[in-house]
Amino acid sequence: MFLTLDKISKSFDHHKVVKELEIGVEKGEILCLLGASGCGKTTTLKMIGGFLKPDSGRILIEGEDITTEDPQKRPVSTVFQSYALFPNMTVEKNVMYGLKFRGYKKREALKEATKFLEAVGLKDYAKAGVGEISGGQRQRVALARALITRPKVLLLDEPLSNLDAKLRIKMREEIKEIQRQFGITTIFVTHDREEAMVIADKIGIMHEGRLTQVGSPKEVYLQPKDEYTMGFLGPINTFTTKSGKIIKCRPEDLSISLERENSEAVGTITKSEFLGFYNQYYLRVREDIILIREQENFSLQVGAEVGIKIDNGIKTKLIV
Amino acid sequence: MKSKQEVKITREQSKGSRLFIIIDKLMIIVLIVAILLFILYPILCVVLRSVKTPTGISFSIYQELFGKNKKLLWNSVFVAFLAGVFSTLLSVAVASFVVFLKPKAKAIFSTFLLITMVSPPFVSSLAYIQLFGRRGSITHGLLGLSLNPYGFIGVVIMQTIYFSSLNALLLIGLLDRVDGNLLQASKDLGGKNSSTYRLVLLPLIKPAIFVCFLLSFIRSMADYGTPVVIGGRYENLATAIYMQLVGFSNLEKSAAMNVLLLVPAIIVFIFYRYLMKKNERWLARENSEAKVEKAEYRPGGFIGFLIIALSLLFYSVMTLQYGSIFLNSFSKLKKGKRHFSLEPFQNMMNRSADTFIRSITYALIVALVGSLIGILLSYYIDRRKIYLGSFWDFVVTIPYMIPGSCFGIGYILAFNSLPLKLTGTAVIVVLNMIFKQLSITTKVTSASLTQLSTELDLAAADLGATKPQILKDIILPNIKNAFMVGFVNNFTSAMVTAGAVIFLVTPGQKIAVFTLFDAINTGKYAEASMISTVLIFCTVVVNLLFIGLTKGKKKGAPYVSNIG
Repeated sequence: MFLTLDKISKSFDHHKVVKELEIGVEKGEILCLLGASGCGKTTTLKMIGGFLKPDSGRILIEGEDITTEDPQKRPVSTVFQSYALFPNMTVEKNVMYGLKFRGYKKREALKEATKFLEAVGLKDYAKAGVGEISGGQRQRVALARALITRPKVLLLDEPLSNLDAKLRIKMREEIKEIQRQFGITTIFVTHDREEAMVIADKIGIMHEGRLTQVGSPKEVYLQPKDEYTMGFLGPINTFTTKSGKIIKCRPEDLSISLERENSEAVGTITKSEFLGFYNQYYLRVREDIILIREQENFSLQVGAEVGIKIDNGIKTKLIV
Repeated sequence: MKSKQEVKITREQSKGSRLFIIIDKLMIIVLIVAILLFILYPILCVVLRSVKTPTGISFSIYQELFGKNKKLLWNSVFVAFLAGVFSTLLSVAVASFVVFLKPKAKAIFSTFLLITMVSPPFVSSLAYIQLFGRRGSITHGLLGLSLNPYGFIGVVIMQTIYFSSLNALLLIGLLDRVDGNLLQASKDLGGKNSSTYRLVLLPLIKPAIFVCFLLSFIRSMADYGTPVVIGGRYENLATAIYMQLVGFSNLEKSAAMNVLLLVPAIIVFIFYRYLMKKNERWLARENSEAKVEKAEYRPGGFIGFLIIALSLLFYSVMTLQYGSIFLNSFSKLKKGKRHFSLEPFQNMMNRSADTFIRSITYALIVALVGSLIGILLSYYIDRRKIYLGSFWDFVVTIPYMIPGSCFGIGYILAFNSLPLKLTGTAVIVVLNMIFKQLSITTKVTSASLTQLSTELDLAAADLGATKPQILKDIILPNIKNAFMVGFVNNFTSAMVTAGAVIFLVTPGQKIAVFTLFDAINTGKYAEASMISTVLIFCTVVVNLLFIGLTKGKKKGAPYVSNIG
């Protein structure tokens, strides 16, 4: 493993925030730490960055123990949630800043900064103040500033949470592109599962200070190891069939059928939402409420009774 | 395997950072020692001196004080109460008047109030004597009367005018931040402007109004300048302190009387902090979008009339005051007629030109050194969370809340013998000024620092900067505004505040405020007016120059993220 977290723990005021966390990241990989707020993902990131010291456990990069190394010296760079661009400096000065402490002459530093600004597509903004550029551009400056010190590991702390929905989608592609270009080992913290699915090579789902599962996006979605993971990655429908079998599945495993006789179960529509490219129906099946997304336009009314079919078998299976 | 260059860099880096860590630790030690030595120690000296007798600890001096000087205490409280009430009422009217003005007019009327901030405290007394005294231009010149202006009523009026400006500035600052949506909501619900003013606007600054009263009360208790100049036979605690010290050199007695002033001052200050915090919660944040122009909500009816009438009165008095000072600086009375004359100017140049140079030099040192110390201190307390932070913060505030005379006597007691014999030097004056005003700079810096996300520090550290480097590269450039406010405040107060200076300055090295006090007390009113005019002029010019200098270079728009 390139980066290893070896049973790290951290408490604040006797409250355990991270509990014996173990994870490994391969060189050049993007790992997404995904979890609800308060699950310990940011604390974990801060420990890797060196801003917090673990109470116990070790952090290793290429086998070298960096657990107690200061942030100044460890080969890790962070892109902060607020970007933390120095407001008193221009874009270029921000990017150059880290080189000051690495023995660079000013001319060399300037050349290097230009190279990195070019890489993130901001060459023309070198002399702009950081208050004069847009949110997405700030994000890229923060990336260039972190990458210029040639860290072994790049940490991104919810880097897209300050952007609006459209820009978020654009920037996540861009971050992935830049990461690929530099081939840098990256840890990306987010609470947005779609973001994690798109960006990650590997997703680690965190819950109450522990990792519930680590795997590729496909693995964690289709073969969740526990109910929390399953529920966190997408909605779950639980209902009882006509034959009395209890079914747990994702909405996409189900479809609505107008033939009630041939279906697994019968439900009453309680709410219907038009979302453009599909309709979203909430159905009551005995005591349970389930959700089905249907592209076909049935124009079903609330109160209508319909059949529920399992199309091609249940794809998402709980692996215990 | 690390390459050769990489190894070299790491070695250089750790050598450099070790040096920076030592500098960092040294700065903390120097700051703490400075606080202990120049704030806590002098104040302890005052308290100890008042209870120490040759035979041991004794409170006899207090018994004597309370027994013999009940009259003095009563006089102080009585005048302080009146000045407090009147200046609070007047300042509410003036602040309300200014807040409802259109932007341009508002700027003019607020700036007028600022002149008080850059005036020596004796200016109103001086104007009063010249206008209403035995030979006053109004009472004698116009009406042919010869009245005795000296007495406690004069003291109350002078203090009321002076404190009203300060209070009004405080209240305007707060009224400006009242969320405009609240006024709109009140109007929307059917409230007339005068009801909105009475039921919404005023209640929102109620704690601050009470603060105005408390601050004025304490300021009046501590003010010896006004009663000495125009009190006549009226005496109070503050004048007694002055007499004991300047007249009889009785350190014990003046120390004990100062402790009597010190205790209520500290109590008031604790109240002040509590009330302002309470008030802060009701107001919008500074620079928030809720700040709307309030001109269309000007109250009408009787309340509106009262506001305008009182404000007109106040501004007329102010105009009269500064007008007469200015006129008297450039004129001379000849056979009952006033002529333009440069005689006051020449007199001033002959007798006290050097004091201005000294004043400006001292004030510049105080402004630069004081602001720097204040900023560093606030950085270590707020950002670096040094041990006992809130205690240091409180200690720094003490000199600001206690009377200037008290802090001055503390310095005399603390630094009149070896190894730290500073009495009679310029150093003691400058140090006293620096530490007296320190808390203003720390407060402003602390506010600026909360605006500056701590993620910036983390980011800089992440990129390899050590703590002193972060301070130099990231923190200091981003709190320039705090430095500016600190500088202006320190410079101004060093130029015009009388407080401790009167006790600390030796005849050989008088500064301008001292000469002014002297000139008034010896009846050289024209010269005193000239000194006042020049003092105000110098203070304004230097402050404006400095503000222009710091604001001149602008690098990028200020962008501070509020997240985190």
